[in-house]
Amino acid sequence: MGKRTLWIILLVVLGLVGGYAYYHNSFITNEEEIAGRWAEIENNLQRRADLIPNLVATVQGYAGHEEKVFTEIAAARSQLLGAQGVTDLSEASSALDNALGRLLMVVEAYPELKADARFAELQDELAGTENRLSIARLRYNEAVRTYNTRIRRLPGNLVAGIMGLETKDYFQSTAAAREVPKVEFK
Amino acid sequence: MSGVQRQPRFGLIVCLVALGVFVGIGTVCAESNPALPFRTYLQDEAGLLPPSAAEELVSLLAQFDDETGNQFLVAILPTLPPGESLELYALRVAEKAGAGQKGKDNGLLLLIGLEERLIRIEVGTGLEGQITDGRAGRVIRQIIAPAFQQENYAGGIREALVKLMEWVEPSFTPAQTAQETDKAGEMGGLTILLLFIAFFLISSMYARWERRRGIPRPPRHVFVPPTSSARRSSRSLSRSGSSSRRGGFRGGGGGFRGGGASGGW
Repeated sequence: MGKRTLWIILLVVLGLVGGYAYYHNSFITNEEEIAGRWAEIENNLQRRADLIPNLVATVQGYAGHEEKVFTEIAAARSQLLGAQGVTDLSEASSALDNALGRLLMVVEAYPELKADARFAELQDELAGTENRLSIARLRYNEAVRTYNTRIRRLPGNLVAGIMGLETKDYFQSTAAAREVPKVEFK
Repeated sequence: MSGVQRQPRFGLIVCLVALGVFVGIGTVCAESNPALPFRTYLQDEAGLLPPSAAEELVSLLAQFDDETGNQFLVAILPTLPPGESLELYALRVAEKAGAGQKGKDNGLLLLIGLEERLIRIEVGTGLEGQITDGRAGRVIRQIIAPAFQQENYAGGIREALVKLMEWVEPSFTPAQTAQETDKAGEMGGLTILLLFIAFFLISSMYARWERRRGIPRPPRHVFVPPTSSARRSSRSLSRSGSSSRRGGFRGGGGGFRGGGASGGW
């Protein structure tokens, strides 16, 4: 009897240790994935911030007196570059989205500007970056959702509790950000 | 004595429960909205291009893949699926097809929605340096849109592809196509022979279809003139036994992240 019980205890312990290791490692993998996706978002935010001065310069060549929009963009851009953390960044990013939307509305009034090949390409770069950003955001949020769900569900939450893991923030796209006028093609 | 009997069973149950709980159930999300499948490099769902032009484009794309490993795909749809942005749909189609090599991510998708008159060039992550968003947009604005406005669809697509290929592999030179040489002179004996073989293959293929009533499998397909029932596979060309691989597409699992440009005409 003694020997048998010992074996059973051993098996149970092995099962527990194995299960713990499995969850521990998979959480680490999830965290790394989230970090990678977050880096992708940051890259795109940075790229967009880099593109903006060029775009603004081109617009200024045609519409120099629309100063209000330019100051708005400059402010939103520096807010973005100074932002730290997920929530801060997503807010700053929305502000910039709005400012850019207004810039593109201004552009509508200048047909020569719209016909400028350089401007069209800058707009493509910007639209491409926005698109990459929204895809990066989707992928990031998906990874966060998987992770948050896993660390809160049984039995993963036991392991997560031992590891001291907490749920991560989503990268929000606010309602205002969604209203950004799409670059229209004729 | 009975206690001895019960205890191991109890232990076993605990053990199994512990294992079962810990291993958990892997939840795999199934794709609900199917993307366009790619059996060949050019998927003309709208029947926009004449068969000869489609054939020519397929061999251009196949040659480019053979020689450089970059997988460029073209999809022409009568209408885009509702409720999804052009960009997201193009990304999904490109990823599903797996254009480009895994790791190199050197694929590209040119997606055309006829009814919406929308164009999307989806650039694989690995090609974003050569085909920047601005360049992709330029190809749409300066090559595809003007050609499409004059209803020169095949010409516009071809010119755009050649331009894109040039940026990726400056040394690549498209092979002279049979069609172009035909235009220059009269039909050579070889062309007649090829037509003869094609005719033979087509008729035997039709006979097979009559029996099977199914869609032919991707790796060994034969060029078939477009009929309404066979449109999907009509652009496929046979991968003949020897070195010349023509038209049969197999995605290498390249990745995309939303690079490229959108436009219209």
